[in-house]
Amino acid sequence: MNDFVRECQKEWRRLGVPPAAANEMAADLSADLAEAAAEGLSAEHVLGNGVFDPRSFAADWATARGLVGPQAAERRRMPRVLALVGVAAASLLVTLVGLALVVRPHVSAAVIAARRPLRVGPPLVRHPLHVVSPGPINQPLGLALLAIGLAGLVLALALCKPWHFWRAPGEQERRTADPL
Amino acid sequence: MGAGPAYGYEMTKRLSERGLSIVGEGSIYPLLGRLERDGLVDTHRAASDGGPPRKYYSLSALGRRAFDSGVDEWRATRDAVDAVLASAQAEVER
Repeated sequence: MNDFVRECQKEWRRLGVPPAAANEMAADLSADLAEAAAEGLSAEHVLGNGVFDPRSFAADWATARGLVGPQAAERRRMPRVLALVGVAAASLLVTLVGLALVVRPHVSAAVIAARRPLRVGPPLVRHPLHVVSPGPINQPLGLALLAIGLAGLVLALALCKPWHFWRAPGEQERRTADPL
Repeated sequence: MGAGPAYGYEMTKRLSERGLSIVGEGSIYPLLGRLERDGLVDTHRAASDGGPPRKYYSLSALGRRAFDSGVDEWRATRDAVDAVLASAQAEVER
């Protein structure tokens, strides 16, 4: 049994598909993929774009068979969607903080204090703002946060797979097409 | 399925041989699932040629009626479109 079928089985378990039906689908899929491989054809030949997203493929199949309601499937996908949104938001925040630390000049507390008008003595002296380069600690920290944030955004994007949605219109039409 | 019962991948091959690559997108499995759920196909498990037992699909009586009805609708649609295209082509050539 290959990785694709194993991923499908995980999804069927997650969706609460009855084990007998899940085993039957897994066996049929394994046999079909093995036959295609024996004929020198790739899994993509059998599964098309579905080969890139075993979970969606498995959910579509189980839903079509009436083994899991579409609403239940959607509801079970929600935690994953929320987790992705959370990761993306946190990554964006970390990226912005990192960017601010790297790009924005660091103003030390001493300089801020120096900006205050001196109240002692007759002339009200206002010192010019001293802008200094990023601090020795802030810049590496900013770079690290920037890297972590960007990595998080890339990870969220990879898990979300928006290119599947861009491909979706034609795919959806085909998926929902009823031949009869 | 008119050519006899077939399992999923076998149906993919039959359709591909006839120039219908709809199944190339992996839609054959959900499609067969819907047909089974709606009672349009009958299924049984049997050994395939030298391979493991497979689930074979064939048209049920309800599926046969739906198929005949679908064929009639398709032909009516095709004739209507052909008529429109023929008149459009005649206008272009005039």
